[in-house]
Order: sequence, then C-alpha cells, then structure tokens
Amino acid sequence: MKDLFCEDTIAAIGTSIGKGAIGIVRISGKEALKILKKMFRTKKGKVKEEFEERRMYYGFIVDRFGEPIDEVLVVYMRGPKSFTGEDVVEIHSHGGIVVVRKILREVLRRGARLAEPGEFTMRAFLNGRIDLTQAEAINELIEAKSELSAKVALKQLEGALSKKIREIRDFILETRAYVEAAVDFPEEEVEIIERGKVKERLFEAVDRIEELLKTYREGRLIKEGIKVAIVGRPNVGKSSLLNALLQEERAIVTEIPGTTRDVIEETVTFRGLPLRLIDTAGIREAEDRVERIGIERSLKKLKEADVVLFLIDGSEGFTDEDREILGQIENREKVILVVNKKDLGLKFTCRDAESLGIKRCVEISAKKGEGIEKLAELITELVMLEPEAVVGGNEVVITSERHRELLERAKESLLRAIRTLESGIESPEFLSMDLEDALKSLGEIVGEVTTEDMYDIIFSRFCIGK
Amino acid sequence: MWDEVFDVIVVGAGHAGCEAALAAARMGCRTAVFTVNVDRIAEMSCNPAIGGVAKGTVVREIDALGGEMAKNIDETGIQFRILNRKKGPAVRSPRAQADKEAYRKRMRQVIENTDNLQVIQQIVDDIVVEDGKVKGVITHLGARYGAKAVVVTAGTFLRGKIFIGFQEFEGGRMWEPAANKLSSFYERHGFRVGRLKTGTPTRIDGRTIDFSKMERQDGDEPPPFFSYWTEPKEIEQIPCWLTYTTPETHRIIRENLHRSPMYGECKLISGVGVRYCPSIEDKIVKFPERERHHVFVEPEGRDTIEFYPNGTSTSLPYDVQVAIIRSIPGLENAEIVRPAYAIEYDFIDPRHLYPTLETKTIKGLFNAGQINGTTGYEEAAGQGIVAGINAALHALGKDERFVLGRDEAYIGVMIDDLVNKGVREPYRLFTSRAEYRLLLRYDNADYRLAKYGYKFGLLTREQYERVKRKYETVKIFIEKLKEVKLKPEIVNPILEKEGSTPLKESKSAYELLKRPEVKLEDILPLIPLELTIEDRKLLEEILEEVEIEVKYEGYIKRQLEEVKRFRKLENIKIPEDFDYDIVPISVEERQKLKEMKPLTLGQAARLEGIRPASIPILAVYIEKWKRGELRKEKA
Repeated sequence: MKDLFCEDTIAAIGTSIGKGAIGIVRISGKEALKILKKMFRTKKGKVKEEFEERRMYYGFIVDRFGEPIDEVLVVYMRGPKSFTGEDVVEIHSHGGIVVVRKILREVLRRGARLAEPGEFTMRAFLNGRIDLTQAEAINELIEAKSELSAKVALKQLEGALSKKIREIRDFILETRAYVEAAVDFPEEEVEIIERGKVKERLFEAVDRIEELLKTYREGRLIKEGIKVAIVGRPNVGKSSLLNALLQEERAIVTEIPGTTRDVIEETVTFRGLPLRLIDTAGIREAEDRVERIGIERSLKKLKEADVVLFLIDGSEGFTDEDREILGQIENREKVILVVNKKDLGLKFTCRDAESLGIKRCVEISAKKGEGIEKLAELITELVMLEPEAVVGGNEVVITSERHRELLERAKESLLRAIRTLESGIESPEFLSMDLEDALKSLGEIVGEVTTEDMYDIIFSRFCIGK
Repeated sequence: MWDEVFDVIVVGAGHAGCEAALAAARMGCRTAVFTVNVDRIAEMSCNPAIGGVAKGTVVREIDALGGEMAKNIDETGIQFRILNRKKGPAVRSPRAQADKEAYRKRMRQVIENTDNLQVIQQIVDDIVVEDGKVKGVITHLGARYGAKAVVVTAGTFLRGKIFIGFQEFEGGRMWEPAANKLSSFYERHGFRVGRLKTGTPTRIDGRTIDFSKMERQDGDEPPPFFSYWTEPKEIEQIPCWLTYTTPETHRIIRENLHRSPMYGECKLISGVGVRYCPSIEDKIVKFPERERHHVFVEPEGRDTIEFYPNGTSTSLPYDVQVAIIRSIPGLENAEIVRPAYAIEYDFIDPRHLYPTLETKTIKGLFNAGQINGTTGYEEAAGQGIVAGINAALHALGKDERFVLGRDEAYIGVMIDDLVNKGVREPYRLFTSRAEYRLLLRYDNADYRLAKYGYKFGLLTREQYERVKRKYETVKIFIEKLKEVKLKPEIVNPILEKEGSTPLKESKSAYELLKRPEVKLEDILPLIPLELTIEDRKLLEEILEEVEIEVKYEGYIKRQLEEVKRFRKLENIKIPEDFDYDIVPISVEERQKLKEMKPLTLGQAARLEGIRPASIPILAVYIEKWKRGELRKEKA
C-alpha cells in the first residue's frame, strides 16, 4: 500500500469487467465527492453542487473537455457510514469495458489513485468497519492477491515489455548515478555529465516511455479491437456462431474493407469490448496451390489472433479432421474450444477438452443462441481478465491500467526533472528528487532499485576514494 | 567489589569516545574514559581532515547538539573550504585540514577541563553483565570499575591486525596495542562479530617534496568555520597540493601485486574493504584503463614536516611503497617518515542495537563508532554523541531516550541504516543516503537539533536563544520580502546586470528572489527592513537562510510533505512488551520483528522481509494493545 493511513483517495472498477450490464467505478477517500463534482453534469448539463447522502442521481460523466462519456447514476455515501468508513462515491454506467475504463481514467486524472489489491477492504478494516476477527482472513486475502498479482505480473512482464521497462529504469538509474556522483564526490575524478547531456538522456527516457505507452496491449486491444479467429472444419457452424455473436447485445457490425474471400473480418462491440471476428478458411492439408495460399494466409491470421475460437461439432465427436486443425494451432493458451450443436446431443463434451491441452471450453448451440453468454465471458476472461485478475468478488485489480498509470507518472516525473533543468536551477539534487520519483514508479512495475544499486554503478564506473 | 564506581564508562578516546564522554559528563554523570594511550586522545589515524560532503553536515549537527568536534577543528584547522559551493545548499559542505597534533592537544585539554570526567589509561578486557544489565568493566591490570552504563568505542582496536606486505603485526593502530579480549566478550554474549579492513598511506618528509611540480590548492577566504559559535577570525591558511600517479606508478604496482596481502600469493586479509576509499592497488586492478589517479598532498600540521599523500593508501611491502611514492611527480626524492599499512579489525553487527545505540540484549551497554562498521571520524563522532546522551539518560535513571529520525539529521539516517540494515562494507555517509536531504542542510543543523542540545543541557540558554532569534528573524524577513514590491525602474538595472529578464510591472522581492539568477545581496539594499542585529556572523547566517528558504521553497515543501507521511508511522511507538504472536502476519515476519525489536512502526516497515501490507495490520494491533484490549483477550 502506498499510503498506509488512507490519506489519499483511491478508485477502482467495482464490477467484473464484461460481466453484467452495469459497470461501477468506486471512489473512496477525502476527495471522492470533489472528484465527482468535477465530472458529473445534470441532464441539463449543469454542475451539481449538492449531493444528498445515499441518493441516486441521474446525469452524465464528462471528460476534461466537458465532452460527455456516458449517462450514469451516481451515489454518494458519507463516511463513516460507508463500506470503507470513508467518503465513498459510486458511478454506475453502461457496462461496456471501454466506457467503464474511460470513466475510471477520468477519475484518476482528477486526483484519485488506482487502488491496490485489497485496498478497499484494508481501509474498511483500518477504519473499524470490519471486525478484528476478520483480520486473519483479510491478511490471507491480501497474501493470495499479492501472490496472484505477482504471478500475473510475472506472466505479463515476461519478455519484451518487462525488458523494455527495466532498460528504461536502468537508464534513468545510470543518469542519476552520474548526477549523484558529481554531488557526493566533488573532489574526485568523476566525469561530470553536462546539463545538456542529462537533458538529452531524460528526453530519451521520456520518448522510450511514450513509445511503450503507445504500444500498450490494453490500449491496442481497445483501439484496434481484439482479434478473434474462428477456426473449424466445414459445416461445424462457423457462420451460425458468427451470427449468434453479431446478434448478441445489439452488435454494431461493420464490413472491413480489403477482406479477402478467404478471411472474412467483421467488428462487433460486444459487452463494450471491440471484437474483430475473423472467419478463416479451412486450414487442413491443402490440395492445390491456390488453396495453399489461402491456408497460409489463414495460418498467419491465426498466429496474429488474440483469441482463437476452435469450433467443433460436438454431436459428431472429435474427428480426425478436427485433430488435424488443432495441430496447426501453435499457441493453445489462447484457444477456446467451442463445442457446438449442443441441441443435437453431444458425443464430445468440455470434460474431454483438457486431454487436448485446452484450458477453456464452452458448449453451445449457435443455432439456438445458447451458451453465447458463457462464450463471451470466456473471451473477455482470456484477453482482459487473465492479466487483470479479478479477485475477492467486488474488487477489480486492473493491472494494465496500473501499469499505464505508473508509466504516465514516471513520464511526468521526468518531464518535471526537465523543467527543473530548464528553470536554471544549477544543482543536481533537485533533479535527483524527480529522477527518484520516476524510478519509484517504474520500480512498482518491474521491481525496485535501491540506493545500493546506484552506489554499485557509481563505484564501478568511477574510481572514487583518495 | 569495585575499585571505583562511575555513572558512565566510555571505552576508547577516539572521535566517538570523546563526544560520548563529554556529553555524559556535561549531562552531570560521573564519567570515566578509558584509552590505551592518553597521548593519542582524538587521534586522526588516517587523513588530516575533518568534514567533506555529508560529513561536514554531520560535524555541524554535532555542534548543534552541543558536541565538541566543530569547535575543535575550528581551533586547530589550517585550511577551510566549502565543497560544492556552486551547487545547491543541500549538498554544500565544509571541509578543513587539521593540525593533527593541535587537534589532539586541544581535545585533551577540553576533556581534562570538563567536570565529572576522568581519563584512565588502561585496556578494557571484559565487561561485567548481570541479569542482562551492564555492571562495569575489568581492565588488563585486573582492576574493576563499576558503571551504570558503558559505551564501547573501540575503533579499529578489536583484534586489530596490521599488514605491510606479508608482514603482519598486532595493533589497533601502528605501534599501539590491539584490544584482543573485548571481542570475546561480545561473542560470549551472542553478538555477531565480523571483520572489516581499511588502510592508510605513507607519511612523507615535506623537506624532500618538490612542490613546484604540483598544483596548489588554497582554502577559502574568509575561512568558513564549522561551529555556529566560532567567532570570525583571521588565520594563516596552509595550502594543499595536487599531483598525479604516472604509468610508471601503475607498472610498479602491477609488477608487485603478487606481494600484496590482498591480491598476492598469500591472501592474508579476509576483511571487507571500502569500495569508496580503495587502496592504490585496488584502483589499478579495478580501473586498469585509467592512466593516472589524483594524489592530494596534505600537510599534517603547522609544525611538522610530515605530509599525507592522499590517494596512495597501500598494503604493499615497504620497498614497493618507496618506489610508488618516488614515481609520482614532485615526490621523486621523497623520504618516507611512516610506512603505509592496511588494518583488519573486528566489528559488531549493528543490528544488535536500538537506534539509541544501546544493545538490545544487554541493558546499559552501548556501541558507537567504527565498532559498528562505519568509517570516518565524523560518522564516529556523530554516533558518539548520541550514545553518550543515551548512556547518560540511562545512568540518570530517566525514561527518556534520544533517537534522531531520518528526517532530522544525517546522524539519524546513518544510525537508522546501521541498526536496520547492518553493514556489508565500512559504512560512510553520502548525501544520497538521505531521503530528505533538502531539509538536512549544513546551514540549518541548529534549527533541526539545537532544541535537543539545549534540552539535554549540552547547550547554554544563551546559545539556544541565538538559534531561536535567528529563525524568528528569518521568518520576519521572508514576510517582509513578500510585502515589498519592487518597481521595474528600480530593479531592472540589477536584473539586467545578472542576465535576468527585466520586469514590466512591479513584483515582490520574494518573487524575484525565486529566480535562480537573482541573489539576495543584489536586492538587499532595496528592502526597507532594519535588522537590529549587530552580530555580523548571525546576520550572514540569517541572510543565507532566507535566500535558501525562498529560492528552494517549492522543493522544500515537497519534502516536508513527504516527511509528514513518514512521521505517521514513525510516531507510532511499539510497546516494549508487545506480543507479536497475536498479529495475523507470517511466521517469518513475526520472527524478524521479535529479533529486531523495532521501536516504532516506521522502523518495522524499513526492516527487510516485512511486507508493506503487514504494517497497517500491525498498526491496528498495536493500537488495541495500547488500549489494553488484547491482553485481556489473551488472559
């Protein structure tokens, strides 16, 4: 917890993403009402000054430019008569992930901080809203959460992203080491790093962070949509499934130009989550050259997909042809096995899925629209919730939002450092304050660095000591 | 049973021991300070200098607490400078060259003229403990001295071993006997005892040095003294000299590395050395690409021919030492007075200590200085005064304890680091070790600490009144700066001269002063405020303070905010009898807390292996414990 004594105001999405038609953003802390007032507009577009406790108000949430984000119901609960014992505000909006996230982001921009795992509960505990006997359970909960988030963090951070962030962190640490060495060892043969050079390095760090922010997965998912590839042998019901998905939730359908005969692509906003549905041509062994080209294209699409819906006809069981197709899918982590034609009676059920190395499975009837709900949950779970980790029911930990926030904060600290440099303040300790802040933010993502790490750099780089 | 009984016994009369003994005696305790050699009280075993970045601020802190180091160097210094003068106030720091002999002599006089303080030249072999409480000490002569509190400031004397090449001698300092028995006292009582290493260069006969080949470095004029209470005066300052090692130096070292007790065929030294005060052979090994290294040639005093070639510390054999020195420009014909040597010694893991420097297991026993794994005279003295004050409080039967926070003093940062993290190598202060260094400045040590010095009777009322008056005036002055509006036609000529953008309309002096390029002295004549302060030194201090506080206000405020958060945890005291077993945190965490016995929740949070999430839980349980709710439950 950053603030052990609840001085600041925290916020999080209070409903599971993608589930249910309503999304709730919950804010707790001293600033909760103030933040609400800044964002809430009445039907007539007016700022509302007075909120009675425990009363629902209908209106709009607007962004910084006064543009409405969504129509909402809001409620204010004054502390200590609230779940956390603090002032609490809830903003109820129209489910969809995009909207809820937009609202949350706006709340964070207005001064709240994204809640850590278990933080709402912790506040409730600290404010005496939960009995002491529950403490043990809470501790276990937090432990479980941190374990989970550690796992999640690890998973998410394996590979390129974490490497990049670590590189940025180390780059900043190195810059700070140069700056500090000049301060603490003025009489030593430390190469003094010029102010211009420091500034250059800081700008470089900012650029690198911005680049990361741009390519951020969640950002891309929402901006470009989640690529959902549907594969399966002919006549297992691909087009029925597509239609079922399209009909769900008054889907908005758009033809994407440039789609080929082999790969049909359509975008639906499903539970607020933009899905790009890609129906691939069969990917079994090709018989002629033309077909092979089509198949290769399909395989490429399959590789690029965020989610693969592997559709089989459950009434016929798992055929050799199905097996052949499965063999073409490299990454089974992102596969959801969709067992269709439930209405005809199943020879193959989800119970058998595990033996195929597929974790997620759903039985549906595309024709009757059964099981589509469950499928939707599985899709959101796979792309969003897997890394985001919903635990403890009413609290959502948005790891990716967290990362975005932390990266933004690191960037701000760096920009402040640059401003300090530009303001003409000669001495490096002021700069160092901002660099330390930036390091702290990045440290929350990829692990902290200590002053000892910095001294390691200083003493290995410079020959210090008379 | 006892040959003599004291309130406080201090074992060792180095920089830590002197401050500890003086503080205890001045607080009214009957105090004895034991030393192996009365002629070596406050000896500067290594370089002839006091202060430096962060260290100089520590000296000012000791001064504000009513200690002696600052006054002692002011009286006996031969060159005074401010380091980082062109940088910000948080990293500026005074440094002085000392006349070693004069430094010793004056400190001895102060000690000899202090009431309640007795000097005893005997080696302490053992400490008497009964029921977990310290009772007294036994010396190598078998004499027994009783005491309510004992402060051990043994420096490098515990099983000290000196190396010159493959030759080794016992000794706490060259030609002085080691204290070989006291370490076993600690081992017997379950303390972790480790080994560290340090070293010192040769001393050179100044009559054989050719200074014309070196660069001269003079002190600042007027000399910036350390103590708030030293009156400005003129002194004759003596220069230092700068020269460099040569490729020849490096060749000699490389060819003789096999004869080093660190790198050579017999690795005699196992103790961990300092990364930042390496021997010359360390530098050559670790930085082979460097073509030359600094050598500062510093005088050891006014009346001595000895010079200290700073940067050439070595444990290579004597003939190599001679060759190294003579390969350096200006030292071609140098004669060596004293050889360089490395010294290895025992230290006691400081995690056995409370932040009062009292050991957790033996009441009334305190450790301070190099015995805790630190390096540097200033670091030692800073611990010495804290241990001395706490030993006195203990001996006087007071419940109060003196703990400095990380937000109050570098001394606080250092002790907190030591007792919570322990040491892996000799610990030295850097400004970057302090989270709140914009608040821990050399200029405002009196503001931060004089209240304690006064409270414990180490500062006089008059001294304290000066501090109060100083900061009251600063406040008034800043208010005035906010009121005074300066018209463009009056102030623009000054601004233009400083290369600052001219004004279009009137602005307050306060706003103008915030500009980095505008100095207070430039606009001072335009401020209609009569300061009725005759003391020129005090006036200058006030102006300096005003300038810093206005110019860096934004940054200072930011750190004050951080301190507010920090204090929340720091102000929650953990009761001594608190039962960690009732707290629902992991077994490992409970174990750690029971062992480390943190005094505050803040300290608990800084321990390794304590998860942040456990801290609020602890907070709730401590609160309930204090209200008496939990003990009942347990019963």
